[in-house]
Amino acid sequence: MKFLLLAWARETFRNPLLLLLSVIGVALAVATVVSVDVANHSARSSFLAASSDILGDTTHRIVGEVTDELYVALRKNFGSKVYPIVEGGVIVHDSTDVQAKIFGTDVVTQFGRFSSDGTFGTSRIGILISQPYSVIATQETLDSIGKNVGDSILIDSRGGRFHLRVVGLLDADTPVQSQTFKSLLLTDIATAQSVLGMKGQLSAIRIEFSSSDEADSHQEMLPDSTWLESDSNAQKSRLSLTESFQTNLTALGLLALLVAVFLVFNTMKFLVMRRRRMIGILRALGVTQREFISCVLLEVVLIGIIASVIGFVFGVQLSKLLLVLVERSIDSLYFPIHARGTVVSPTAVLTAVSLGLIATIAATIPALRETSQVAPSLLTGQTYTHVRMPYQNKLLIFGFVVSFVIGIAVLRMNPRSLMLGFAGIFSIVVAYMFLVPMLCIGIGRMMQTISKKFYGVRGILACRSFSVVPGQASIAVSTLCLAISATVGVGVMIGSFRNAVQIWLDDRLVGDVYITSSQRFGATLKPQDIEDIRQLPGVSSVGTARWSWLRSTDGKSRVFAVNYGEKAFQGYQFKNAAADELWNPFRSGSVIVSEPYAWQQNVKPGDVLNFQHNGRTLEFPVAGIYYDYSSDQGIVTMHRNAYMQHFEDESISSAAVFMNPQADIVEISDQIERLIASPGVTVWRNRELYDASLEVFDQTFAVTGVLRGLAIIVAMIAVISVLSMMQIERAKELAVQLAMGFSPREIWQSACYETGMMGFISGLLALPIGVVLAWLLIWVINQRSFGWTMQLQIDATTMIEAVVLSTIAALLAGLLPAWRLANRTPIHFIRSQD
Amino acid sequence: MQVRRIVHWTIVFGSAAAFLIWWMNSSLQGETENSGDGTASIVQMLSEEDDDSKFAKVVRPARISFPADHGPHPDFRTEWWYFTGNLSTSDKAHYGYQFTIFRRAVSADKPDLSSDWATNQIYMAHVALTDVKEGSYYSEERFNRKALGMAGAQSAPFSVWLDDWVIEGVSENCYGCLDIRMNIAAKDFSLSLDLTSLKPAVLHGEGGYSRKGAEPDSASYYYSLTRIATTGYVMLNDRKYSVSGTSWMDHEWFTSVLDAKQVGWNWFSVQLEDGRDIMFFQLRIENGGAAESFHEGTLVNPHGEWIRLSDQDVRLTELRTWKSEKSGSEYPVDWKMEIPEHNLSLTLSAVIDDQERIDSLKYWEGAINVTDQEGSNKLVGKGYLEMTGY
Repeated sequence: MKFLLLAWARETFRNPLLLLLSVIGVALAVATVVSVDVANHSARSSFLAASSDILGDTTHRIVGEVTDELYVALRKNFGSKVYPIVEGGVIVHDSTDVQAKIFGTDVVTQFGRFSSDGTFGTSRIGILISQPYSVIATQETLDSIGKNVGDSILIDSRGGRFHLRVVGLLDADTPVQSQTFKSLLLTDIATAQSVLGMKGQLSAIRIEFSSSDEADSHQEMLPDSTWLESDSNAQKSRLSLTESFQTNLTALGLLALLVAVFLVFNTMKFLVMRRRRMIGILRALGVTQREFISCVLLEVVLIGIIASVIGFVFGVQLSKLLLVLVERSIDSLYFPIHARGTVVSPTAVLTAVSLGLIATIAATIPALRETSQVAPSLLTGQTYTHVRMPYQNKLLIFGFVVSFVIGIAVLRMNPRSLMLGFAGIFSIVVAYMFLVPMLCIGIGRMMQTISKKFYGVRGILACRSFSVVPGQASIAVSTLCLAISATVGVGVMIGSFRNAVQIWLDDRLVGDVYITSSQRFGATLKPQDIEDIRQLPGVSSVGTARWSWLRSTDGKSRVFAVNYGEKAFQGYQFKNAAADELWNPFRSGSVIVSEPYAWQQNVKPGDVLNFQHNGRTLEFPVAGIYYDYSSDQGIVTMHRNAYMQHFEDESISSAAVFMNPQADIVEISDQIERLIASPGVTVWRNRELYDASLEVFDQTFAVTGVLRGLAIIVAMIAVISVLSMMQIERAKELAVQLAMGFSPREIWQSACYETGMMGFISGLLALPIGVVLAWLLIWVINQRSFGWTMQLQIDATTMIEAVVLSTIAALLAGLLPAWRLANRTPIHFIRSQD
Repeated sequence: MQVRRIVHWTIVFGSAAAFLIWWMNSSLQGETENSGDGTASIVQMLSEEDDDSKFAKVVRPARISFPADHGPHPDFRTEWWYFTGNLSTSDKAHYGYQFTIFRRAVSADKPDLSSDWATNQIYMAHVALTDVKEGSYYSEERFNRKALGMAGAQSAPFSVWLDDWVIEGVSENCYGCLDIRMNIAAKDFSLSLDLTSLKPAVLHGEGGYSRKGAEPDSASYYYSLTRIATTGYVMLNDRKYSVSGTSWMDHEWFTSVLDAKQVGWNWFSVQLEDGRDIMFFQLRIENGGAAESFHEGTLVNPHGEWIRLSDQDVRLTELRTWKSEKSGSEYPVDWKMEIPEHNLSLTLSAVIDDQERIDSLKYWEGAINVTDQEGSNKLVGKGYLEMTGY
């Protein structure tokens, strides 16, 4: 056994580059999967911590007509578990009439601390209490209004005109925090109430309950004019949003995993194959199967352990990069979260171990079986070509059918389960991978014919490795194909999505200028302002809209009440009918719902929605379902007349201004801005809103780019190792070529041609499955996670890019093996006997 | 040869990987640094509070009268009502408790704002419980302001409160005597106690004018109820213990106390079984010793008559120190107190070492056992020890 191990070790170190490649291959696979897992977990934990932003952990908010007295009563019962909030928008004068938000909380209970100098009191923050009209803000906020600590700020608010004094800096530790504190003037509640004219009133009370039962039991305690909103409900729905987003991310990670498993399998197969001759000799010498299996396992376990450790460390580092991107996405999509650093979850460790070690060992088994079953004489002899090709083809077809059927079955099992959706998609992708070796031969033969025309014999030889048998080359092709198909799938999906959003924006943004009021600033538009805008020269009409929440028996629905005319209504694209047909029902009181709403609430045209108001149940028939990408929670849109008639709410949240064709949009929007300047009200020109929307979109999908890159790098490593493997397998053949008089340069060229061809074929083969993948991502994953769908938009550039990328990746991966190949003398090959 | 190639490639790949990791780390540093704390921190503030000159000052003895002086003195910057006590159950389980309400004026005048929240008076409450048998110490801190009735103090009927932590009482016939109910529900425990003073109020220093430093205004008004019979309940770990024992109340108000060099103090309250009570404090100066700084003490006899203890009367010796793992501070937790003139040689030892509280203020406030000599098990009394500025 000792000699066996020594012989084995010698063989292992005979080609250190290949040993390193196998370690790197496995390590990279582990790293990819670990990084996605860690990034996801960390984003999640950041998210969970995000609710404790400024005010610590609360579970609920009490909103409505909240008074000081209510707070005092609650404080008596709940102690430090309740926080009062008084907030509202103000206009900062002096500089550029920018808006800011006064955020008042009880600084005594929130920030009560002792100074370090031994005296007690809330001295450092005490200045906010002792000095009336004092505020603190971040440096960024102060810069934006051109002020410094110590300066006075002139502001206008509902309470009148005030001079606020900046008495300190609010420290924003992270970019996200500075975003949270942007335009925010933090002050004590006494100043906030006085400035905002809210004596005796609070904007909200935040409260922490230990259980939902506790919350329910206190619901009745509250006065009628107030109600309890569950943060955790809001949090839960937000959580499910981020979950959807993260599931998409995990999907990409899993695609990388699939590529990685291929790589591990391939590397391990190679490790065993390389020893064929030695194994043959050893077997002939009487070494038992058991003995050499233990040798292989020892080596594989060692590689697995080393690679797992390296991969894990590298993966955790990589996750930090991903985390920043993930958080940026969540931040721009949903709400600010803090980068709290990476959290290494037990699953990440488990993944690393199972992929690095178990998958590595498992991947060795087929190769092991193969070599251990073959007679020693065959093993020691020349390259044994796979004699069982028809058998192998049957096996591949069988694999394809089984995977495909399973995939379809899983997809149909539960049309709402996201996990099953992914499982089904993977099955289908794997099914296709079974076809790749055969397709590869088909395309390879075509290529051979073409190559023959251009390069003669060398052309034929270069194509032989993948035109004859499903051998090593087809593994490289499948691996690369898989990685490229993932990039095509995701690319096409994002492209389609972007296209759909663009069309949707084009259709819906029919107004020339939009005026929005931010709920964050508690602002609404005044009917008088709208009237004034209507009178402006050049304005043809103004449509108004109201955002609101309506309560139904099973929760709340976001309602959008509009009085746009028929022209704006034409901007809606319906799933079930043309806008013309739905205009009349809509005008006479039916509602239309967005696609995500219909998906989540299981609503069909013709159904009736029930909303509760003042103890009555109001019924609204659903006329149609429209495409919408603005909210994944779903929207119910109704005509403003119907809304006002039932809910007696005349406030206006936003308005669209339509102008005469010859009107100067820039000038009128400036006029409007001057007319209605008030806190939280923003005037957007059509183009600005359009650009801003797409910017958010692009930011959201930035992270997917990194993961696509990762998948390709893993695939490239796979290609390098496969090519190195082939180089050894075909040494004899090359030796003959050299002996025949091919120059090393020609060998090098033909090797490059071969790898380039492999990349090209991989790219071509990746296109159909990539499109299928995109289609599945749109109709299964997007539908299941967001509720929206879109038209598949196949973009020629994405396709060409994929093929070029694949070819370049393969060429790059093939450079090193090709170079090594070309730099050997024939005698070297012949001597090597292998 | 092979080994060299392995080394060569390992170095190449190793350094590439190391560089990549380093690069990612450094490029991400800006994003992840300081990420541990989500709460807002205030880094730079302008001038702090109004200076002392705008507040009333303690410069001379004043006539302390009850019940009025049980109430707040908002013209002075700082004030506190301090309750400490040692309680036992019928099976001799020993609990120590502290309940303090602090008042702090952040400015001399109430700010001119229309809001009812406007105030210049901040209140803070500290509550703590020592479970001697289990060796555990629990503490909690709360803040609120004197507005909307959320926190405050009044003299008649006597009451000091912060949220639902309330002390309410009525004045008794004897000088400064009080009959008090104390109800405090903290996170980890609750106290529900009835307190009845057994001795009249003791005015420390010169009739309540207690000097803390060389400057005449380095002083406070300070009186104590040194022996208060206490009965009631301690709720801990979902169990309710019926307890009885003795409490001590301090009430002190001032504007400036410590001289620049003073960093804190050691304060002792001792209730002896022979009926005598002792209050003694020494102010500590920077770099150690309390010896050169101010001392003040009062000895109360069983009938409630008291005499001042001068610097020379009391000798204090540190016997043993304990180092806090949490704060790194080292506190002398066992002491020898000698008052030869009154034939007293006492060993004061913390009932458990860790009675350090670290919330806004870091200090050690804990129950002590009093024995007649070092190492003796014979209790001659109990008390409380407070150490600040360590």
